[in-house]
Amino acid sequence: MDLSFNEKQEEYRQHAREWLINNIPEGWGTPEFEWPDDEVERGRILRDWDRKLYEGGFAGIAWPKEYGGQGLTHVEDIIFNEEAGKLNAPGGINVLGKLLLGPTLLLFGTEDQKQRFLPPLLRGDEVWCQGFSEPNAGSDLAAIQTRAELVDDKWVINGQKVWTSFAHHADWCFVLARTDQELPPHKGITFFLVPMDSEGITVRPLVQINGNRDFNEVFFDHVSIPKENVVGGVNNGWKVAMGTLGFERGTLALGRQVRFQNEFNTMVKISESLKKNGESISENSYYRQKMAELFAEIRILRYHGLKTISQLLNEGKLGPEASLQKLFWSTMHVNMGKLGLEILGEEGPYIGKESVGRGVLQEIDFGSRGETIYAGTTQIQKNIIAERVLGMPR
Amino acid sequence: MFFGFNDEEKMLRRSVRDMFKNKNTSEHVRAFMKEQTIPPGLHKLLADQGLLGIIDLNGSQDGKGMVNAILVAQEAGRFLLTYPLLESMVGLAALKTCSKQEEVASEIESGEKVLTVAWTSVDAKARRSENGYVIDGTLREVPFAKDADVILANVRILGMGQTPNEEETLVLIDPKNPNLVIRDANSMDLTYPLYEVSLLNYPLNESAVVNRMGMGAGHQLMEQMLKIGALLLSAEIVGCAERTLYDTVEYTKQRKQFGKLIGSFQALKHMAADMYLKVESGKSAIEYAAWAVDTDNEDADLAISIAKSYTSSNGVQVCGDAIQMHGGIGYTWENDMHLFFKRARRSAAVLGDSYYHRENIAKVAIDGIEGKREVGSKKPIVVEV
Repeated sequence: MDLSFNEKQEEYRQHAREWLINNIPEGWGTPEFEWPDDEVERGRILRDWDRKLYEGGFAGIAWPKEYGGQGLTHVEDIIFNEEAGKLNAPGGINVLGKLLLGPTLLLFGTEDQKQRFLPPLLRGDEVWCQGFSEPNAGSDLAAIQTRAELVDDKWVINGQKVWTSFAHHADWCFVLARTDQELPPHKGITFFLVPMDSEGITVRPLVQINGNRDFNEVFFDHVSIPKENVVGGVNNGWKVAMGTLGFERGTLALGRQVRFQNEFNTMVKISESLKKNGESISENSYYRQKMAELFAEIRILRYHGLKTISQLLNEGKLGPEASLQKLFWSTMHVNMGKLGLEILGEEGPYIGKESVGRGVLQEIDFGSRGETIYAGTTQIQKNIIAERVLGMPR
Repeated sequence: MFFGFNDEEKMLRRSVRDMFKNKNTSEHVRAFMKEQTIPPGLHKLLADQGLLGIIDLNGSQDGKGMVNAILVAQEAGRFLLTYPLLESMVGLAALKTCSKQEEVASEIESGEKVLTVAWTSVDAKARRSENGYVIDGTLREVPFAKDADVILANVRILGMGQTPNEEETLVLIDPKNPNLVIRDANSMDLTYPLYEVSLLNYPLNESAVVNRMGMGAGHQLMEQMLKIGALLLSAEIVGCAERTLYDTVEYTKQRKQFGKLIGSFQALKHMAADMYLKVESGKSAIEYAAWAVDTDNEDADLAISIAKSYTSSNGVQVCGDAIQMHGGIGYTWENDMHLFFKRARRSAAVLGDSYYHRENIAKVAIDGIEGKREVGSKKPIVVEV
């Protein structure tokens, strides 16, 4: 048991922190930060951040240098994410490219694909979105109906994807499509790389319950792409898609944890400013107990994060136990949202600039409702734990 | 960076588990519940394995032995060990800080004498008499007092400090002395009986004092004992919860209803997954806290309160859910589930309950957070963790 980082790693932390402090625009990530209303402008701000990260040497920290990465280890990646979390730095716009596509290509891509796609991804020149979910294939991802057929040496894709984050900013999309109707569902799927400016692609925005419009519906109508835009072989897409899910996410654990800690501290601050029955909420035993319980869970999330990282470093991969982490933090965050609204009490309905906390606690309450759904719902995570970890019968 | 156990620690866990599996079976536990007497040979066995003196508060470069101690305590919970192992581990650690008590410490460590701790004192006070001191008052929450040879207790010695806290002194009480009465306090947990010890004109010899009289020394040591005791109890709760989880999962793989194994029903799967989440979170909490204590991390007290509050609430919940998942059979006296449930309940209640430890957390998390930010400030929040 050794939960400390060594001197060299602490030096890297210092370096990362200094860079972040000097480069994050003032107020970024705080509730007072004012986003432009224009979606294109929002995209530009985020893409600029990705470019800055690249120039600062903080993109693809654990990726090989030959593909534009920094050639460091997961430890440095984790440390950077933790420091970025402390300062509430944004994740940028190419989250899906960095978290999912990059590691997938590193593991399953051809040399040509790695050289073609990884450097522009890290530079922020090419933004990626993920074309997995469909209207009838959410939790049951293998039920996708989007199909791809080989016509005259080109793949022709038809179908619809949904909940596609950043599709309206993306240059490329990694798409799962059915390439064999006869094979069992998991076996007839292929992983494709599709340019978003292809003819036949239509992107329609979807607005989330918190008012953000991060995601979209994407329609593919006879979209034709080059034959070689396949990753990991035809009909091997399920294996490719599953191979990297949850892998890089482990490195985000500590970063997420400190963001929750920041939110908690904001909640404390708000609780000090509100009174019930003549005493400040932060002095009231009921709320103290609830906040302490939440704080304990935020800390335990950190312990889980350290364990996950330790597993990643020592064994090189994460097991189904990683489902625990997703289940834990998303459920905890929903509870944080509930408690925030309890603390706000009669101030709860108001989310404008003049409101208590400028709507930051409500944002947790709304935003967390998506977190128990995306990347495998709470119920799917529980099935995974019950079946694959505890061995309960299907 | 390594969050896990090394081979030695894993080996210790394995050997303790195997030992309890054979020597502290459900039958042994049931027999103890009737007789309320520590089975002969059990404490010699624990002594021979070197488990009693596993904690060293002065520590070495390898820490204080807390990581090993939580592994042992988890196994004690997993098998409902009918022995005051926790009190032995914590009490011996305290005795070993005093060179005068070397002899009794070695008698306890070698298995000649059984040690327990009186966790609370109801106004037990020592006053001067002709031949030294006499104690009057009541000690509560004394596990296995009936079988103990030595009781480590915290009493006030009047005049030995400016405040009641300062007067507190750790002393060794002889349960065989005629000037005390031991009464069964009727704990719900029959696997770990609690007694009340009433002292009347109990003669206190200076040789029975641990370290020194009053002047805050006893108070300080007792505080330390309460903290590591709370951590070990958290580990016992985790052991109880983990055992009930896996026994229950096993049961769902055998029990059929509606022509199917009940483990295939999603309602039960999701309950089991929630239980797993609570067990694993409890484990992470005690492991981190043990590491923090071992390394004198400034986080240690907070980590202990996190562990005790979390396991006290969630460990009990897991043991209760285990009863539910067993259905009617789980509600019978014959089934062991209620033994774990009650042991967890008792453990949750003592050495600081959830409420107490959450208030400790609140003092750090709410009253003392660093990097507090004025709402309305444009400065990013920087939080040290």
